[in-house]
Amino acid sequence: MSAAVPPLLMEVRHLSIDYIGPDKTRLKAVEDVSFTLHESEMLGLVGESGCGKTTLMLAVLRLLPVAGRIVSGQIFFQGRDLLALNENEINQVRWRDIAMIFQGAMNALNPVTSIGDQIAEAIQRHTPIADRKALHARVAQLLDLVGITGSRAGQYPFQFSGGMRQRAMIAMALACNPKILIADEPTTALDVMIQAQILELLQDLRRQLGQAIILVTHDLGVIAEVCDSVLVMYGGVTAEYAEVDTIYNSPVHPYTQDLIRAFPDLSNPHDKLASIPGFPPRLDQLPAGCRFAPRCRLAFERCQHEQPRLYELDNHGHQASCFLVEGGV
Amino acid sequence: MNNTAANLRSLLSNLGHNWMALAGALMLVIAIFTAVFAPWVAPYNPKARIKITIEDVYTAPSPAHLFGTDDAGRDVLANFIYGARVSLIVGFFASFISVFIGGTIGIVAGFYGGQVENLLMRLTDIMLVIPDLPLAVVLVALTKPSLLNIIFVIGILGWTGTARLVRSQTLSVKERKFVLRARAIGSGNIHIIRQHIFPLVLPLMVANTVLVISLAILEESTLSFLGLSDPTNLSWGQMLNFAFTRGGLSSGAWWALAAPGLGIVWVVLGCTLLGHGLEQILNPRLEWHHLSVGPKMVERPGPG
Amino acid sequence: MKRLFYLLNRLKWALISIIFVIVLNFFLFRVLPGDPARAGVRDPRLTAEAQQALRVRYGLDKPVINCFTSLNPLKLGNCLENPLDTQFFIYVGNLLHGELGTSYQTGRPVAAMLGQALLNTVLLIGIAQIISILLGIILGLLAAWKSHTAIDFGVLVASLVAWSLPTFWLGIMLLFGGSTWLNLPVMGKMTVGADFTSGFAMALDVAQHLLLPTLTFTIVVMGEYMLVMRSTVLEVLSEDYILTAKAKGLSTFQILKDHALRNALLPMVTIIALNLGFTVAGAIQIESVFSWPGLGLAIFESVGRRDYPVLQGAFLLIAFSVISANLIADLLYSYLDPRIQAESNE
Repeated sequence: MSAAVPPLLMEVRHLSIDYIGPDKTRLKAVEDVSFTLHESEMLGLVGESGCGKTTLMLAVLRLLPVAGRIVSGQIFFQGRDLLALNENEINQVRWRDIAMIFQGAMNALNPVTSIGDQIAEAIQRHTPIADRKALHARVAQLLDLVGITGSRAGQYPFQFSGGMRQRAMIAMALACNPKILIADEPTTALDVMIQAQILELLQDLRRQLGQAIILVTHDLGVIAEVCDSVLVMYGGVTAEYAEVDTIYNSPVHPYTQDLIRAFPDLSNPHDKLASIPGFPPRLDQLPAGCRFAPRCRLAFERCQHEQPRLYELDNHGHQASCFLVEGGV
Repeated sequence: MNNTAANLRSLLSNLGHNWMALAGALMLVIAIFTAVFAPWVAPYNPKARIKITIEDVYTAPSPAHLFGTDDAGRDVLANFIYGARVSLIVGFFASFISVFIGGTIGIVAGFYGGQVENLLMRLTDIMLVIPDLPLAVVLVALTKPSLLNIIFVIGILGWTGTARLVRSQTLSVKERKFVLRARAIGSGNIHIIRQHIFPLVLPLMVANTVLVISLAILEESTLSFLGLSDPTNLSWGQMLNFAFTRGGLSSGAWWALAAPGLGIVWVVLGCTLLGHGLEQILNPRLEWHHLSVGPKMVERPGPG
Repeated sequence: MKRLFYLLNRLKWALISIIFVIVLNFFLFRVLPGDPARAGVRDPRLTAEAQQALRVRYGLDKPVINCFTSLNPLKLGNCLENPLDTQFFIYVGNLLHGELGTSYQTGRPVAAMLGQALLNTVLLIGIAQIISILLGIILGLLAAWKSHTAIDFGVLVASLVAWSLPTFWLGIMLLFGGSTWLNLPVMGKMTVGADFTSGFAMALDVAQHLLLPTLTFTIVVMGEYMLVMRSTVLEVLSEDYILTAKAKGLSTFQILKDHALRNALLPMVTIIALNLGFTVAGAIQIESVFSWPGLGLAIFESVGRRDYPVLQGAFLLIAFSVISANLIADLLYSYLDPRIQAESNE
């Protein structure tokens, strides 16, 4: 229906991830999540803390902590299943094809090495440049891309402000021209003004360089501004997955609807702040049925003991896991 | 004072899960038990007057003398057991002095801050830089060699580590909410220190005290070995001094040289294990790090 | 510029420490019981005049310092008369000339005696420290990397045991084993009375004598380094930038070398410096056991003989070395850690 769809870059199919708890029990951190990513697409991955967004992203590059296990599913990237690769092969994919910016850039940079050296390290690992001057020029170019003067390449992370450190991380992430950039809560620790700058930067870069970006956040406002499609997660499962307009204008999952309503509307400042009562489920205390049922205002009997599958709502890829839309809209 | 008791109790209950602390505590309990019940445990009384002939000197271990005999023909095992008393007493009392001085300096410096803290920390730095053993050697040698002297000298030289630790802990506790609240309602400084600061500093101090004890015992044995102790009170170090300087090596009397040393190692290792174990309990570290080796991450069955 | 201020500040404290030590050193030996003159003059057959002549020779007839003729027993004197003609100022004056006094026992200048002793101790300590630092760093890094495996457990237990061994006792045990089973020479620095055909032969002989003391030292000191390195690296490896490095596709070896090691070495430098005081203590013990002619043995022997000038000189040399080493460690640390510039006061 819309214009020509750009080529498919990555397809995650039915990914499930467990954590081995301290007493050897298995905790289901992510269950049966699927999504696709096309070139230049900006996918927003949204949900409350602990819903599995970061775990999902870490699994793509196989950076889970030692207690994490990918128990089923496939991650297709450029025709290969990333999960079938061995350690050496995935090392080639890391950063060169898919790069990741972590939450809280405060400590994500080595404190005793200069920013320029750390960026150069990434370059030399995957796309080495033999000539030193050319290397320096490339580093300066990358810094320039994110709005940092090239002469600061010799400085250390402690000499940068929070926002600048995040930009430096972005510059470093782009060093090898990756096809996909995963930004895990890139603005959470920063103040609102800097947030806006970083988001603008990401959008600019996408326009200039054509990357696909997965933006992980708990802030719906950000998603609305910049994303093309949205994956809403709750308790480790997909709640709803659709294009951004659909999510905002016609959400079907009660959780998505609550999330959108909870977002303060500046045009009606006198409305009471709506919030979702209760807390997200703990991994060791997952509900028997639908994960959202205990907090859902529309829950009924079946929701308490049966988990809904992901149901297709139209042929634009709108999916939701709720019995209310079991037979389509 | 409820806080202090509660903190200590929780510390002790966590002890059970930590193998280092358990092993260390066990080793120390055995050592203390042996020392306390020496008259019942030892096969002979080392102070008893018996007739010694030249053949009795440096005899190898035998059923009559499980650890052989020393340079004076006496049973090494008996001396060993009674020697535990001396070594442990000196170690404990000297370290109490050190921890008392260090703890006081640390809390005062951390709590009052400003010039007081500056001065005390400068003093600590200078004391740290002066090498302990040469100074101790000089002090003990040039005054009367006696146990009391040794306890005193080791005590007043060993407080720097405790002072630093207690000060940094006090600094972090000082900023906590309940201290600010206590001030807001007008509590006096001494009261705040006693009720709020001290209970939180105490657990770390306990872990530190155990390590200080181990250092004190090592230092006492060294000073005794160098001949600076009271020769009538046979500590393990003193036994080694006699064995070494009175022909133990040339007689091949390895038992006289090995046994007292093993005693020292036992007690010091016990303290070290307990101290490190307590420290682990108080500052628990993550089980894993980013480069931890573990089972394969991708668990799913074959492709398809 | 800020780094320069930091260094000058450190230098200032080093100097203050040295002055403190000099003053402490001087008064220590005047306050402690026992008349130095009588101590150096053991022979009871000496007449009163001869004793007095000796006192004059050693400068002990002069007042200790301005208002005090002597400190033990306490005798007051004239505060204003010739303030510079006191033992204290003569002592300081001599120090500035590099003169450490004359030994009571041998009558030879202390500086000459201790100079050679210092070199011997440095030889012993230097080699042992280098080996134990290298091994401690490598093993500590390995143990932390492989944490919760058998290697980690082994290294941990070995370090704790090594740390708990009394230095002198380990020396005795190795001495016993070495002489009994390996026929290693065990006393002194060189075989007494031997004629060496070449410098190389002599060096070999010294090396043989050096083997056991160095081994003792290495084992004891290595324990502490392994423990500290292991706990430092464990902390470092939990930091976020290690995950970033992993995400960059760097090999484990590269991460350990360029990220973990560089950050973990910083606290190690401080520890190594602080350890030097302990090292000196170890030196005294080892030199006593193996009769190695270094500063430690000099202290030990002169304590027994109440040879105060030697004691005083040795003590000063040791304190001076430790303070200098700490200063060097500070300089090294400030060079390695770029964040030092940001610190205003220490």
